[in-house]
Amino acid sequence: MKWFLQRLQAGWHLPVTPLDDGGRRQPRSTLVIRRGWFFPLIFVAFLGLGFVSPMLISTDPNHIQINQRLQPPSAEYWFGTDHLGRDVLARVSHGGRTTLTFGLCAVAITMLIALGIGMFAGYYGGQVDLWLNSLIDLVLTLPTLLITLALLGILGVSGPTLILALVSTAWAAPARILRATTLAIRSSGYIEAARALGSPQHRILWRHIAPNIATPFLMLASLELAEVLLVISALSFLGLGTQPPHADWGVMIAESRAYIGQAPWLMWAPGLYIVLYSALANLAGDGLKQVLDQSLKRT
Amino acid sequence: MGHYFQRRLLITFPTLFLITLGAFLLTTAARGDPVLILLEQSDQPPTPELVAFYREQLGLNDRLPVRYWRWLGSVVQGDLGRSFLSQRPVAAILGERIVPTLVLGFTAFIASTIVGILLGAVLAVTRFWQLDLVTRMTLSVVSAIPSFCLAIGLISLFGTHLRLLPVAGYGSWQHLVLPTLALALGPLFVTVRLTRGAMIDILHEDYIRTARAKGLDQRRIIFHHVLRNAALPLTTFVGMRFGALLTGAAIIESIFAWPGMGTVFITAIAGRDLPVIGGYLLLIGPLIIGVNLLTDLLCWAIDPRVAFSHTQGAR
Repeated sequence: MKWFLQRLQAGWHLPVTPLDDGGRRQPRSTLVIRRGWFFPLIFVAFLGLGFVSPMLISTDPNHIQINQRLQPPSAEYWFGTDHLGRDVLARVSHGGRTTLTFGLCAVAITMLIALGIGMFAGYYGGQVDLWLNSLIDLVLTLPTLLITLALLGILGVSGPTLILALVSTAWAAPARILRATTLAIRSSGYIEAARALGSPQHRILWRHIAPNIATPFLMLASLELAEVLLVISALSFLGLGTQPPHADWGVMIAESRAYIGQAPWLMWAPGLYIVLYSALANLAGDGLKQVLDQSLKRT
Repeated sequence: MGHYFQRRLLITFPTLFLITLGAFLLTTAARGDPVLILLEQSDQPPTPELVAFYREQLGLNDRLPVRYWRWLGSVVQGDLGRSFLSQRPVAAILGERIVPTLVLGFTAFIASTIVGILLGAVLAVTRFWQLDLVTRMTLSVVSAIPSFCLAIGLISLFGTHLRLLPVAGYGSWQHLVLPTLALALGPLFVTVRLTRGAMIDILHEDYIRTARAKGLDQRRIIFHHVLRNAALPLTTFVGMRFGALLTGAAIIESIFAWPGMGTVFITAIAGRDLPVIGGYLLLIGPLIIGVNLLTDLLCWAIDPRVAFSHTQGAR
């Protein structure tokens, strides 16, 4: 955990101010957000907001008020009310927590599998790498969304099966990149030096390889999250995810379809949330990629 | 080089095996014992002798690999089992819907690829910055919208408000417009960005300057030197996209009530109609895997160095 915090701090403060073209040092300010860390920070803030906002909104998302149905957005109902008079703002925040929880769980499991397999294959090489790499190749040839849908059909729709179906083939692409990264780090000088010093293997993996793999890991995780949020919403939309009366963004869009002519605002709120979170996750991934490119350029 | 080819082909077989095995398990994993269901349907009491007799006759006593092999034989002859829900043969259900799916899939595929490459090329060559900015801004906003939201947005705009185009069904070219747009706009953006990026990089290469210095005309430079070198990343992306497009089509199809295989597939998932899911997997899976294989081999034909970067591993 310590190295992780150190890395995070290193992201916020410039340890050494870079030289500009003329060879002069740039003036140093107290808190400099290094280029590339802007969107990841924003994204983390929005994730926090997504989890906190349902607690701040006291309205029950499933409270039905038939006399208040299909109200347009107003001061009382910011995003209006739906066909049963339920508050769209409350539903969209509570639903968002559901979607985000499933998304984060799926991404965490996917990335842990990818990290394990990628690091193992990249570090040990040889026979192990040959087999694991073939496995990765094999899973990569499988059509991802098709397998996800088919698994949901076989296992039935529920929380755990949804996560299993999302993870099943998604781990292969990040595993391949993490393998390549580990491979590149393993052949660098400082690993050789650590080995020559007689560092035990777990120490090399944990202290030398893991910190260097952290940025690509986070980058892949946020890009994966962007994708997974869209897939979860699409599945819920089709009725293959969260089941009514509970809401998530996909379910809300599906419910709004019938009222598209008379109450178009029903679609705006969940649609906006999906686009916002997915776009932010993508931007966070791109930002981390920029950080990675910069650190590669420096070395 | 031959090594790459062999390896790429070799990896395809286990994948095909996995897909067919999955489909086999789906079609045979009926709700309950097929013998009991059969006896119930023919109103016979399930005596132990009768059950044993039918088990033998249906080949259920054989070991799983034998049954798999026999099933594979029947699939090749076009027998995909019967749907749980409608009791109709799966081959017939899917067969009558192949054409609409292929029509939509290929239209969207061609629209996103050709328009994307042309637009990207125009942006890269002209470097007309206002056009560049507007196109990229529009496309990046549009591409952040998931396809099903886009589909509903298009329905609400063109169908409900403007009443220009039909929002559901199949038949005329007007019916094709909205589903194609919903499917193609996302990949279109990536194709434009990839083409533009690759072409701008290549336009800065020394050999382009040499070609210009030789006095070659612009058209020849663009088509012969730039586009050919930009083909590699594009081929990879376009091939990869094909699978996503076909499965994404399932979602779009069910929104627009398009009478394709995807609509059937989504309904089957909701109803846990396992034979239909298996049949769809069996038809679409190998198609996607085949296209992926073809793409990789095409990349290898365009640039043999691909094999090099691919097989280089840890020693």
